[in-house]
Amino acid sequence: MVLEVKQPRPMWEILFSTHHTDIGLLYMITSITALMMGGALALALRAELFLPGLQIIQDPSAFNRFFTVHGTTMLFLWAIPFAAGVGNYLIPIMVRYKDMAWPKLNAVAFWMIPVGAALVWLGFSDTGWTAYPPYSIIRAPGPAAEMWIFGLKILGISSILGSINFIVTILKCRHPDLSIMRISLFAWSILSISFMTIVAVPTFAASLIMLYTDRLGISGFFNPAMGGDPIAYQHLFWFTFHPEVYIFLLPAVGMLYEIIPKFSRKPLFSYQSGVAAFVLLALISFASWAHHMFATGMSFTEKTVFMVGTLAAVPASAMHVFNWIATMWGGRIKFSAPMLFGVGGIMLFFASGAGGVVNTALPLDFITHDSYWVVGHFHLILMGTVSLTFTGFIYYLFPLITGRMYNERAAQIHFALAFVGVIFVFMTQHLLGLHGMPRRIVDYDGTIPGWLIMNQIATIGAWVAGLSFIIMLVNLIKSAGSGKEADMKDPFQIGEEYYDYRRREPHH
Amino acid sequence: MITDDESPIIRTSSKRVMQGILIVVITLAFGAAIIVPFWHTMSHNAPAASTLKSKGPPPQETGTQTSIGTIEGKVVNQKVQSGANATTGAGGAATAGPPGKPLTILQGASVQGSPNFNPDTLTVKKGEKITVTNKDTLPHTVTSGTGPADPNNAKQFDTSIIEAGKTADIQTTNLSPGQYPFFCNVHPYMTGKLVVQ
Repeated sequence: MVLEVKQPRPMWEILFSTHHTDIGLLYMITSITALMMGGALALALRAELFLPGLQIIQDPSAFNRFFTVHGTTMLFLWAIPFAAGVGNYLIPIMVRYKDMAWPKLNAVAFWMIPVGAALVWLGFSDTGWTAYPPYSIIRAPGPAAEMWIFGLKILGISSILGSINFIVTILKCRHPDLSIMRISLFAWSILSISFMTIVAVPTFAASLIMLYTDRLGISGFFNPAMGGDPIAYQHLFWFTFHPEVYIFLLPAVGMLYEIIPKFSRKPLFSYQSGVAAFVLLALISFASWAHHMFATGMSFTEKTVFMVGTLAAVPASAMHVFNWIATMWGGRIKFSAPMLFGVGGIMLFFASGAGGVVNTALPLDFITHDSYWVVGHFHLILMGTVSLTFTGFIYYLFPLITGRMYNERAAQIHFALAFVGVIFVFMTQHLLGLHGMPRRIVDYDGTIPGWLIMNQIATIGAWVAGLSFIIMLVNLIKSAGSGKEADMKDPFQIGEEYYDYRRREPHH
Repeated sequence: MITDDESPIIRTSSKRVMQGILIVVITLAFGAAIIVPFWHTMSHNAPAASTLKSKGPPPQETGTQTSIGTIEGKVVNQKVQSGANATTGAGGAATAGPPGKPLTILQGASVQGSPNFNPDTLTVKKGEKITVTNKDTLPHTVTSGTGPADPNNAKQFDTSIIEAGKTADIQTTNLSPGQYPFFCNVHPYMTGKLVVQ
């Protein structure tokens, strides 16, 4: 399909190509497939929780397996590969180089993802995406957990290889006329997450091997019966995965920096503050991992340090938000689908960020810990901000990739349904958490005031959001084949060159 | 760059989109053909690695067992030095010598409200050995004291963790006659009483 480098080529030539646009495309198609599959699991989970009792998923351990694979899929097979795909597609163009620095390494990094995905999906582990010991090392069912461990191992290696490639491409293969302070902010976001990946992921890679030898019974790093410490795993895990939260978020931030100025028909308000905020977030993200573990019995000093470390991310995030608002301010905004998703993403970013500040506060954290509040909070950022922005960027890149326009009306209906659906699910889950509903349960007592109705609102919201993504899928497939031919200079009729990644100076 | 004016604009066609979708669908169908028949095999709650190992341990694995014992032995020694007046049985290790007076942890004891220790009040003569058998599917302990909040808990005796299906011994030679409440350190609502005559 898609953007052809020279001529329409046979399919297998795209499939086994090392060209950056082909690999970027494969990444994006894989990740959209994963989004649909992970979303289907989420809808099944919500359908089960529509009524008290066991209806759809009879077996509680199957429920555990569903949410484990749902989480793993959405994080490692949708969020990270999609960002890597867009990066592959755009970074060489943005830095004006013919390809990625190492095209074959790039292809290897991509082809590890289907392997990792196969291991995760064929095993269907039930440990939860965090795989906390002692459960994961003592009682988790046999081959499934091992397959999960090796699947994650492969996905981690893939993302490290991709990061090395991005760093070298951006820093070393940049056009000599293009200084680092003139590349697009999306390239800056990919550069930041690549450095963060290289620093953060090896810790988790090591703890996966420790988890595996613990399961074999030949070591006892996390096994209390052998003198190990399960809390050590949580530290290692969150040392990787708190920065990873920002690795999910920053590409979305970079994409918003592409979308917002273009559809506001204004230059970006402040390039330097965007760069500064990326660098700050990349550094600060390593100072807050233990806020996931306030309830594990840490000392007050530790908790205070990590509370302050977490709050330190707020100014940098706010710099991005103010930058977007100032860019939109006074602009002639054209609300095409990408801009709608972008603005919706910013609104939910603010909401989820506010929820995060509540979580960070020590006394409140103990109330919300392990409740649906947490589920609502991280879904609001990952679904509301990251996934909605990514979806907007799918629409934004669609004419570039296919040479055709998507159906704008269907895309706007998609946005309306997805935005309302997301608010219904995840805002309601915040309230459910405050009403005391614990997370990761297959059944609940419907007689507790508020639980039944709030679960039903959340389920309906989830189904509305799910429906909206089916509309997107149909829209994309139909438009890719027979959509209106796009004006490749300016498909969105903004009045300027669509494909201009040079930095423009602000007015002042 | 791709946007050069000279480069031809090549747009996707329905045929090629369908070919692409076919590739994705065939791949997913292969996956489904593997996962669906094996779903229950994968979800079968396999016994934990540690349980597998202890049934009929092969020679090279006894080393690991010994090292577990040594670790717990050290813990026990520390307790003795810190003023405890009783010896404790090494939890998890195999029972040595003939079995003593039986104390059973019943199946389902971990569920709050279920019967847990049998007998609930165990009466032994001073010096008599007690053999604790864990018939539940979860690890338990028999620890002296009224609960985790008791500052003197585990001072008199403590089996430490007894894995499912394992036994552990409690020596009463150093216990003076009297009543000793005990509980499970993992599930503190499991309580019982030991009477030494």
